[in-house]
Amino acid sequence: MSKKKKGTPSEAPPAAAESSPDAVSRSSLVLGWTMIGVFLALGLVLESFHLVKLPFYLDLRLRRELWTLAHAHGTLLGAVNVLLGLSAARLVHDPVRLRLAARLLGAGSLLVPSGFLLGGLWQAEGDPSLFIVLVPAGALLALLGVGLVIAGSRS
Amino acid sequence: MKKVRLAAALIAALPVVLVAAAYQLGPRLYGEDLETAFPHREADWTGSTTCESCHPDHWASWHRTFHRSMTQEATPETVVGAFDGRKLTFGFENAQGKLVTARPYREGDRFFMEYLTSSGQSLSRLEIVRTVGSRRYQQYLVKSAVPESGDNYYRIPVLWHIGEERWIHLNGAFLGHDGEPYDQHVATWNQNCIFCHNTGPEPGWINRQDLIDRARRGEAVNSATDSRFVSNVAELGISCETCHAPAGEHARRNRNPLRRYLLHLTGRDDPSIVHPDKLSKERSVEVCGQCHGQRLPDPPDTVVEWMDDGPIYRAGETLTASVAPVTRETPGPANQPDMFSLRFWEDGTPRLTAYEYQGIVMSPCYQKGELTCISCHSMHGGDVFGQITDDMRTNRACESCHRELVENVKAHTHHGPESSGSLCYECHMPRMIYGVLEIHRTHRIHNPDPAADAEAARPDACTTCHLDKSAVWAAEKSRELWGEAYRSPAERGDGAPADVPSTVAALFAGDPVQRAVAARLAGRRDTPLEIEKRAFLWPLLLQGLQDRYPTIRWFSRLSLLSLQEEMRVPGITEALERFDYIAPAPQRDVVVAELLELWRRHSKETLPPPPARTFIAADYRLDRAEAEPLLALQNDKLIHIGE
Repeated sequence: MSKKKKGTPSEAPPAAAESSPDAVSRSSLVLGWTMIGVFLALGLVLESFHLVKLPFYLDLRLRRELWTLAHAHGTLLGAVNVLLGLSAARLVHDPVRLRLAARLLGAGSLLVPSGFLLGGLWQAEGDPSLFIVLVPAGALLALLGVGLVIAGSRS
Repeated sequence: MKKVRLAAALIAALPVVLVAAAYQLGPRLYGEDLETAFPHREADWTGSTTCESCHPDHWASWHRTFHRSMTQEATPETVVGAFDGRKLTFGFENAQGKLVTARPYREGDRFFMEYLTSSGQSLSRLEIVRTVGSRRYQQYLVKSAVPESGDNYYRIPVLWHIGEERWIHLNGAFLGHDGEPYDQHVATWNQNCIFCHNTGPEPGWINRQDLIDRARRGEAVNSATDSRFVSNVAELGISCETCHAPAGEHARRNRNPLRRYLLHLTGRDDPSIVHPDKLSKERSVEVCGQCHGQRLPDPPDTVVEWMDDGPIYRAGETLTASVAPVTRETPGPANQPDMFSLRFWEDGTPRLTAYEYQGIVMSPCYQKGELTCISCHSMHGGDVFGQITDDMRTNRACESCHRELVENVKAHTHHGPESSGSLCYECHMPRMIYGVLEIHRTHRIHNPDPAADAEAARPDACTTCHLDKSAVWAAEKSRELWGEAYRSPAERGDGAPADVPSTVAALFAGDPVQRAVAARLAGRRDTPLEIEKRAFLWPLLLQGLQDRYPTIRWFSRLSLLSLQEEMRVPGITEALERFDYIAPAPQRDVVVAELLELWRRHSKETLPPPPARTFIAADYRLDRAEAEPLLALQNDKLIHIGE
């Protein structure tokens, strides 16, 4: 196994390497699987709250709802990132568009469950905390990313 | 791509922009709204379902309470009584002097009560349409069968006792005697129960003018039986708006998230809703007092408004602006001038439930301190039986104001720290209140004074625990332990000698409430007397089984069962279980004779001599001749429970 030396002419420059379909695909896969791991683990944590009948969680219906939403959205959006990682290169041929789409989807995917999670902390009884504004912002960013992928797949 | 990047940047900035805009706009748009007092009386009722959407946790903690299920439509889910078709014959007669048999039965999802003569002939068959109560009793309402009668609902005279799982006649639940007619307690729901057992009651009296015209023509008119109603309630049962005021406007205003978040983030109070814990102590206790404090419309002629549109008071307002709480001094109607005064001990302390407000406002903890109902009770937490947390059942309840006494309780009480004599409630809120076939704690928090209590013919914290002791003993002991301020009683208010043990004096010479309290507390286990030293209570309670007041028979039986659990006299348990306190008299007499014989035959060799002045002979039989002067003092004053 011969190691390629840094700066050899055959190697793409760092910026170009980052935006290459492979790199984008890899970063989406990493993000996606990480999110799946984290938010599946959150599901386990929430289950354990039921196990020990934790009043901090069980007694507040809105908190339960928001954290359940964080668990579900985090896991599903993680899966969407994995899907992007698996299909991006075949769908979007413009590397700049692809990188932007991946970043938007990634940022949105992080913001949505974070908004639900933080919205369930310091909440009022009927309303989430102000962090809930992260959810619509994240959803719009993710949608924008998905839109770019769709548009890219047509061009 | 530039446009996409711009859009992304705008979206990313959206949360900051939204928060900044809300921070700027909120106070400008809603500052005045939040500063302005809100006229709750003008708001409309909205119902607990609306509250649930924004207050799910408070809603859930209310939904599990007996307040919520106080009045319900009769359905298989809500009816708890045994509508199994079995016949019930009680020892009360109808207007024709005949025993009536009731037969509760079910057809599919519908429930019925049929009344039969003793020969089995059907008198009437009524469909149960609503239920009232869900904790101790469940009472049943039927609707008027006559269409022109409006929507009158009537309480039937038979109820289901949830704890005992049995049917009980209302004469056996209220403080009436055996001679009261079968339908004595049939009441029109629309002009009675509706007020306190529902939210936003509007009786809707529809024939007031007709009754006035008839009276003017000289016809006999009875407003209690002739009135017709088409009633409305905002919600069956006692729901959010009873304590928080009508919330229609509150819900409407708070559909706006800007207003809500302004409230959340600044911690400001929302004037469109009432929080009893943020009211002054006076206004706070009045929220509970609107129902837990029997009262009359004030001025009296506003009763007409009440019977049409319901009570004027809304939570947060001054209760006494529209009602006069009933006190010992409240004059009764012409045909029973002492109707209200009999509901109080002679020192003005209430002796029935639903007068907790009157008790609280007489308490120094309220008068000189900041005590309110919610200092101890939790409407959204704790045990639904009493709406109280475990902590508040202990001395912790008093700790916030009386820390030193609680921390060194023995020095204060001179009782062992683990004894009931060191529990604040036992001495400062002793049990002396009758209601719903139980004896409850007084809500007049006070220092015991054996002499004053005896003179007011009132149960006393000392002698309802030291069951063999008299008021004279309690006064002497108090003087010894707590100082010279404790004087000896001049005489007992009921006329019994002050040196007779108070339990004996109350059971022999007391009126029905005194006898009920004494009969119930005779069965308590947390007394310093070992079971052998309580044997003198047996003949007294066997005498109580023969009282002409069913309630006293009920308590006597319960206390005998309690003594029997420790003493285990052969045969007694079975006989007591067969004793039905509201069965026809001949049936009861047979069981009482059997019980007396079982007690007579039981060996008393291991028992100590009966205490002095208890009128119990050495063989543990009641010495009737000796007790006769006291029994002659017994009075049968009819105490009308205003429920």
